[in-house]
Amino acid sequence: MKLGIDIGGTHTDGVLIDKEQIITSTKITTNHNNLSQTILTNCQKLMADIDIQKIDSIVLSTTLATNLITEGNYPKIGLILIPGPGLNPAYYSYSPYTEIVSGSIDHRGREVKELNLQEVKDKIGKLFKKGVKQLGVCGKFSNRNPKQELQIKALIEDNYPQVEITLGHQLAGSLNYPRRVATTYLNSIIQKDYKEFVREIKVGLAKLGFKEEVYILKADGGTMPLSESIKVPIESINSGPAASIMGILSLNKLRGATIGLDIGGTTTDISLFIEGVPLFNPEGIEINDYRTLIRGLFSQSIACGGDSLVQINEGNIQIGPARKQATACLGGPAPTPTDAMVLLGLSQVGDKNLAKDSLEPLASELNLSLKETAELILDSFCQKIKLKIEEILNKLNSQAVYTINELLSSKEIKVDNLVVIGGPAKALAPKIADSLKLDYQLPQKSQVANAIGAALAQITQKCTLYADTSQGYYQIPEFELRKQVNTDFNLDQAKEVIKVELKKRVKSEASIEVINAQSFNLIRGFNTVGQIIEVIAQIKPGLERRIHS
Amino acid sequence: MRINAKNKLGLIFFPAFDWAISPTHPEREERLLYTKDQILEEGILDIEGIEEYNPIVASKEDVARTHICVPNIDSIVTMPHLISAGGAIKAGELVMEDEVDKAFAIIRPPGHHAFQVVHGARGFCTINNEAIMVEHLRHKYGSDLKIAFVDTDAHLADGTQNIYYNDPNVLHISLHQDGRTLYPGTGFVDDLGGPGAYGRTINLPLPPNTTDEGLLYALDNLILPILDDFKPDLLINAAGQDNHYSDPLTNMRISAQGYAKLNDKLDPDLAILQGGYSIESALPYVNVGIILAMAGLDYSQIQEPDYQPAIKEQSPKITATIKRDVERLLRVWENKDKVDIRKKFNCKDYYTTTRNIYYDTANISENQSVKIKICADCAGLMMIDSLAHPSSHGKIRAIIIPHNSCNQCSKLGYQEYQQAKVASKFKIVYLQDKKQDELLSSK
Repeated sequence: MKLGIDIGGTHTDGVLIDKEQIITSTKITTNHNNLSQTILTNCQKLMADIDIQKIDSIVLSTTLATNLITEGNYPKIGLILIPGPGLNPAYYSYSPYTEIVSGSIDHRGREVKELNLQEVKDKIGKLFKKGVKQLGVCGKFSNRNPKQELQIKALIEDNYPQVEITLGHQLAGSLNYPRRVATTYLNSIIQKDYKEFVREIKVGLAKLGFKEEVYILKADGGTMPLSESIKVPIESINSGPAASIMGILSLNKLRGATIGLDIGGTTTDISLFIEGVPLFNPEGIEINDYRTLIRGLFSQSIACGGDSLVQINEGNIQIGPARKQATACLGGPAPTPTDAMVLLGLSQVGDKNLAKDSLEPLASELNLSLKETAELILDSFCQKIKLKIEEILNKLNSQAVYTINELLSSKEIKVDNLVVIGGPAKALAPKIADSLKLDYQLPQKSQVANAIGAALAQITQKCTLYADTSQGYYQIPEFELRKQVNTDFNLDQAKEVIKVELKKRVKSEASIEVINAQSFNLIRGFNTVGQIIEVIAQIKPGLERRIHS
Repeated sequence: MRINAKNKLGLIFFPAFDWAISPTHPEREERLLYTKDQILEEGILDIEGIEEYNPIVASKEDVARTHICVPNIDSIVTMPHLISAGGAIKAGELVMEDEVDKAFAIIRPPGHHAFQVVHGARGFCTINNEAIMVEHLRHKYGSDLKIAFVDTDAHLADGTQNIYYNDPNVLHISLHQDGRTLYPGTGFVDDLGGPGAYGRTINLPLPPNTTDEGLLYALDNLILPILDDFKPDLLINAAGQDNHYSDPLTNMRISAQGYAKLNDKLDPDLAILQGGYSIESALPYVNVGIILAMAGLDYSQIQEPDYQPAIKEQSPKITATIKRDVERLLRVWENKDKVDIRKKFNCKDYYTTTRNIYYDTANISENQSVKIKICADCAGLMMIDSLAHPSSHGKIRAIIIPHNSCNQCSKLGYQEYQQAKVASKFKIVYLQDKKQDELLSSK
């Protein structure tokens, strides 16, 4: 049996799945001040009358990381940056307690300038005097050579053994220093509280008699063992949209190019699947205006949901971005798309008269009947979604490529079907599908799609191997691995190595996929002196099984 | 948390990682690898206002309106060349359509050594990507567009200068390491263009070991005043990066800061990569510097790992030489319209000259006889007789009707074309009518 819990803004959903059936599902209000308690209560409910030994795994999709960062209630976090020359570091000195130290690594991972250890000591001391409690250390090109980050870590540990340290190179193997700095900073912010959260969960579940592995869901739709997540808690962030996307996958058989729509109260989340495989966000996800290197499933939000405020702006219907507490039909102060649906008989929520009353002023201003006004509101809703989808596809179809082969063979993504989940899904799906001229699916059990997605998600890991055979090494930063090689080391060998290392470290039966493999001959004078090899491999995110619909 | 570019910059970064002239050639897959790494690691592509675009594929028509390929386009041009030209075209269109304020095409292979008549590859170039872009833009937006090239590559852009030799609407300024010390061996102060475009070609040979100081002196005292006077509609920086102190093929001492500063002050609409083969020590830093300068962002902290302040020291002799040549050229520019063309070119109705062009990459030697009509109403009809060794095509004649051709020169051009077709001494005859946008070939 599989247990999955998804923490949402308002509610926390839980499911217990046996074979391909949902045995139980729960929905309780989220207590954002005590997420571990919310989770444990949900677990308790789901586990009632069940033989706990039969539960193989629990997967948690939590908002802890996002909450901690958004609330801003965290201790002073220091950043030690080793940027070397380049873009002005002022542009990405995200912490108010940022210190720049001299030293630099170049694009081939060569140490160009050594650290000045005294300078580092002095600057660290300065930060602690200011009241900094945790430190993040991040150097440019540290994914090619982590030496300087490790040196600083050793220095900190020698002098301040209690401090939590985050090192940039351990968080992600891809390039982009400002993003690596942001990821380091955000990880430092949540580290301590996350540790506490994990402790509480472990204790609570032990009390319930649960002894198997607990996982957290990541933004890329894969899972990670809870105990491992303590090292890189930032990976737990933004799992909500991923849960929704994995949920859509679990409830439908997807073919062709599919748009996934999750229509919520405040926002509508848009995702994309090609032949049932969800698309990734290529650069990394954005959290609270910070751009990070955290891999995430492609998900774009528009501020337009079932409970969004409907107003008239210069003679046109405007939906959102604001939202009042509730829809008019449930006693709220202003009209919403839900009220329009209620008026048209597409939804049976709340009091139809209240919905009617809320739409009257709009109707009179527009000089239309109530029915026409409601239709117009829903048309505007569909139009907003349509425009966003077109924008998304345009962007995806014009992504930059760097080889002639890709340039000439790039196929345009043409969407041919739609899956819609969320409260207003049933009422709105036909209209949206019609305006987009697509077939659509409305899965059953979609109210707990997120929890299902979490429950059935599988363990994933991505890693990058960078080899420079002229310098005689390869590096897999995600595993803190650096080994010597000679100039015979080639692309095929690199692919083997990365697969072996991945298999060693991740308990998974799933197949390993090589996402990207490139090698370049290093020519100096007229001789080949070595190769630069880069291989990116992953255990693909996927579902352990599908739900019988 | 956003960095906002001051100028909206369109970036066409196409490193063609799967193509090379040959596996160990400087123009190989590896060339822009480290530049890519530096651009990605600096987070340049996340900057608001810097947008990445793919190149388009240039069409055969684009090539035909720029070059005369012997025997024909198909036997000379391949896809990688069309894509490089397409990268430049994309950059040009983005700026002309106002989609961006400026554009930078980091593309390969280069093009500025490709002449008007093309028998093969030369100086790593086969077709001239920047000229193809200009001809495409003039076709689309009007042939009276005033274009200015400022080529800061260490090598003379002899191909581009050749194509615009007699074109008064295209000003071509080249700064390069003195031709007596470096390929292609030409590009001197007296090379000022053809009779129909006298003074629209400006060459400033720089002594070996010229530093940022010399480069910027030339910019401030020669280039900017000339551009101020010429007032181009479009300013293009052919940004070859082999002037860098670490370049293996040249002897100059420009730094990444120097390049960035030059680009900042020059304020071009477009920048196109040409040469530059110090792929680890120069290109990553110079390109990031140029990108930041064009985007209007702070580039003051860009520095190469092996940078030594001593590189900035310029010998007084070099300073004096540059000063002298700058003054000379300024006076030429000021007086260019007062010159008696017939006297200057020592001719009456036609100016004739010969050229020897060596194609190092293809190992071909070409002899040209050139004849240009002296015309008061237009740039003048041009005829080029060309014979290449080795070649299976024999002697060819190319007749070129200029963009601003008067009716007489156009009529004469067609007459000459018909006559040459019957004459037995030309294996192939071409008529490139730039005004009507047509390329005719007798084969």
